[in-house]
Amino acid sequence: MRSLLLIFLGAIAILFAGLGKKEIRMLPWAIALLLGALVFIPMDWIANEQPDWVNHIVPYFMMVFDRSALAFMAVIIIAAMLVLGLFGQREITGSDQLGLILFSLCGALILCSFTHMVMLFLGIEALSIPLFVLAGSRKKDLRSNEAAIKYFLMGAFSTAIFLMGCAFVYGGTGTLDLSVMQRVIPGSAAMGGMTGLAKTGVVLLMTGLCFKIAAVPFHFWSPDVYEGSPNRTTLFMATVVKIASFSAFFRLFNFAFSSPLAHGNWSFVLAILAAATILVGNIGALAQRNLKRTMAYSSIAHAGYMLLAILANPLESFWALIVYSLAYAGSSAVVFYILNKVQEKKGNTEFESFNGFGRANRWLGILLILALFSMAGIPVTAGFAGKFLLFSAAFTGFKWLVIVALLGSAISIAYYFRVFRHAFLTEADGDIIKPEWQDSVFLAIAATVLLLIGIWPALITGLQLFELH
Amino acid sequence: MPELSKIPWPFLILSFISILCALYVVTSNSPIRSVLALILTFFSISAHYVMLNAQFLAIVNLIVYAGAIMVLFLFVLMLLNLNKETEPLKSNKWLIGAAVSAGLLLLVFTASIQTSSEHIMRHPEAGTGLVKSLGKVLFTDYLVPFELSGILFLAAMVGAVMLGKRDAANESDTEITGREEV
Amino acid sequence: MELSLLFEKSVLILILTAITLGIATYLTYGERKVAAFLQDRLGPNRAGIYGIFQPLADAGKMFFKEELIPRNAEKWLFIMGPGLAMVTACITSAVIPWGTDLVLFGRNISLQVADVDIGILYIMGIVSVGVYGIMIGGWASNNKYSLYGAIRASSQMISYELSMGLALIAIIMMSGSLSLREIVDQQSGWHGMKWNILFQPLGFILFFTCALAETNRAPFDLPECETELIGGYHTEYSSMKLGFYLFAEYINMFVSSAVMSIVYLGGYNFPFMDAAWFSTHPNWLGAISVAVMFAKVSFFIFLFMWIRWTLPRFRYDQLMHLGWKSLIPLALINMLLTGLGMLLWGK
Repeated sequence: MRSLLLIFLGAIAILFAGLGKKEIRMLPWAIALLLGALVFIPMDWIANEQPDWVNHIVPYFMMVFDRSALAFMAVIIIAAMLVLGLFGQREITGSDQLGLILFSLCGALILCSFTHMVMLFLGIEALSIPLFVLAGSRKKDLRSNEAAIKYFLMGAFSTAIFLMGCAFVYGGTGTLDLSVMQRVIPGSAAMGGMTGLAKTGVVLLMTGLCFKIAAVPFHFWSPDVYEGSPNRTTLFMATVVKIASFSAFFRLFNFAFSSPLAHGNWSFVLAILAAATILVGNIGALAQRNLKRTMAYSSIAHAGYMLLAILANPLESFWALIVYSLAYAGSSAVVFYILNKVQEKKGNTEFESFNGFGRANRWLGILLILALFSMAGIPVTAGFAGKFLLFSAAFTGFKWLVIVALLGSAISIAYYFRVFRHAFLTEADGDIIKPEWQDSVFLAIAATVLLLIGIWPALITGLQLFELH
Repeated sequence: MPELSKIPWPFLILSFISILCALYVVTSNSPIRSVLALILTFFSISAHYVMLNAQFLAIVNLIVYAGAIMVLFLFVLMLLNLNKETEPLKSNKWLIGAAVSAGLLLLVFTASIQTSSEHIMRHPEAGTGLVKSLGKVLFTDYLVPFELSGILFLAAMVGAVMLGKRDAANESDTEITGREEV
Repeated sequence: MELSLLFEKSVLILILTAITLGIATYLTYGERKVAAFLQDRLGPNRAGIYGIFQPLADAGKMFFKEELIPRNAEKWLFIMGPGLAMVTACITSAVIPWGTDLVLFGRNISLQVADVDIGILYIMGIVSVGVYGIMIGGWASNNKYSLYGAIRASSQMISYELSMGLALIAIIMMSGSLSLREIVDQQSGWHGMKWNILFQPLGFILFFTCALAETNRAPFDLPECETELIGGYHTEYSSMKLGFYLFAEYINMFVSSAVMSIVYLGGYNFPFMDAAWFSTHPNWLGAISVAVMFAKVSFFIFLFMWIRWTLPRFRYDQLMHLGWKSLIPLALINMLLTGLGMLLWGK
């Protein structure tokens, strides 16, 4: 709660600070704000009980900042910090953009801690609405405009479906409170399990959330939007938005609809969606000639892997999802940073533009390798740890799905290797890119996360000794 | 499902009107007429709310949707000057696909409602939809979402201003319009 | 529903509609007389004594003029426009309490068609829908001046609705109710003199300004600004359809005057209405209260006309600046002040 409040008030303060005529560099303040918010999380984690004033402001049936919420909040704040740190120096101009990013972040944090459907809905909207604007923030660029309008239309559409789902679930259960829903929704076995209304509602909710995480077959918007948006927004969408949506997905489906009777009703549908997402994402990525579009498809595929966490036993898969999210956020940040720099020099993100990149920039090259390895899930990187944990958590229930996922990972190595080939194995001379010192700091943070978790995953998974709720 | 004869006739008439208008919204060629039909749909939905004794919701639905959003819609459409010639060609393939999927959705919805009609709460407390009880709930149990929607609107407003304002880089554009806006 | 109640309400609605239309007719006469007075002329004085039959002659002329529908107009919408304007103008009066209850044939007869829980919101709703008549008519005419008029009308109405609503919120905060009847009854304290205008002077000015804008009266009559747009949204209209538009404007004026009297000037309350004599003669009380109500309405209508013939028209950007940069902040401040006042003095 303290983190959320801090970020929200900070966002307003930054908005007001931009009122004056004088240009003030707001970015250091924003990063300090996020650091402050991050500091609160371990404190709340250790205390493990909400202070009285929090309970006074936020009733427990609206939001609960339990440990599972805090873990996701930490990941999301770190991901947002990487976005701001790596792209903030020149790209994010004006306090209004910074304010919007922080508002969006507020939405993401709400998605970690809701216990009521209304909060879930408002969180999704608070997350999305600033992004519609940020996607179109390069006003003169047609592609950016296209991205904004596509994202907006898809967002509106998915919201409508999601709301319809809420209405059906409410009709079927008579409540919007997640904990009450958990009790009511399975129905009794004698009555034939869930009511038809609740079942339809769950499927509609699933559809709405699948739009947000860009799971197949609701992924069509994502490559165009990712390609057209400014790089910083794309990275924000790929990391913060996706992780927050997954946290909401996880919380909703493994809390409200978690009883075995209900689980059987939706898990099969979701498993098929996950398999399709993995295959379509990876095969689609193979066909691309542009790194940014490839990243868009690869992010679809990653969404597919992450769906495994929702299917599996939540006690095991929760930490797997956290590790995976961290790995994904770190490696995406590195790849997008490099992609952005190359785009600045060459004007596009075709694979050819990366020719000779690794030779010209040794350190950035090593970082690129590390990030690609992590994305592909090659050992000693965080990506491997995440995939391993995810797949082993899902293996007991969904063997065939894990096999599909392994197949998908194998395919993915092909296109990650293509980036590698262009960057290191071609003869051309690449441009020399000098990261500024601030960028280097955040790149180092990302690299540390990737390596540290890769070598020592118990750093995160060890936390499962703590009681979550 | 209750028998047809037990359904109150105002409900039947209103539903007929709203479905008819909604159909006209999607089938009409002229966007302006679509919007007008949509306004009628909102009116009939508001009438449904009145029948459910949710007066506040009914009138707010009118003020917000029919009175504000649709006016803006109409406003934009009038400026766009969409003629029938500029309407993009819709191929029949898409039409059939959309009709089939919408029909399937309808089937699922009706089936789900029909199978669980005995679970649906039929008689909520009287006066739930009146302003007083609504306000009481809104400012006690639902205070947090209420405040949160404030954040939402603030963000949307900032975004709209950001998209709407002129960039410092495009100063040359301001000269064309002549008068200096403050 | 009781049959007699239905009958009673139907009669009331009929009377109300007749009065509304009659008043609207004679407002045209009133407008011309007031204009003449302010410009030191005589005004209409040929048809009947003091020209009293002039509106009837005008109405007859309207009916018998040739009806024109432009060839490229959207015919149905073109016809619908004035009708819609008229309908929305007429139905607003349904929630207005015109006087205290009468006792006739042993029944208490309320001089209000519908005492709904949400009277003020109903009025706001109808006002916000009221712009469609103008918009549709202006667009369907297929004439650029009409379209300009329609667009001006819609943007102007949306802009001023906001501050109107915000001004009303202050009143609702004080009354704690959305029902117009209740708002009137709460102003009956202090021997019928506890009018809201004493507590909400700023709100009253804001509301009055917005009412001028919402009824498209000068100085806010940009949608039909003849120097720029010929006739604005009704450029292409003739005969009774034009008449409907003009009529709707006068009806709107009448109704908004009634709303202002109710919300700010105490409605049908008048000084010393709590005298003991009235409690034994409820029908006298009712009659006087209706008369007082109409006196207040007439005062506002005169104010409308006075302003029209005194102030020049705004430029369009001035209109928008006034609406968004002055009225809305002022209305917000008014709201805050009201809240503060209620907190301090426990209204």
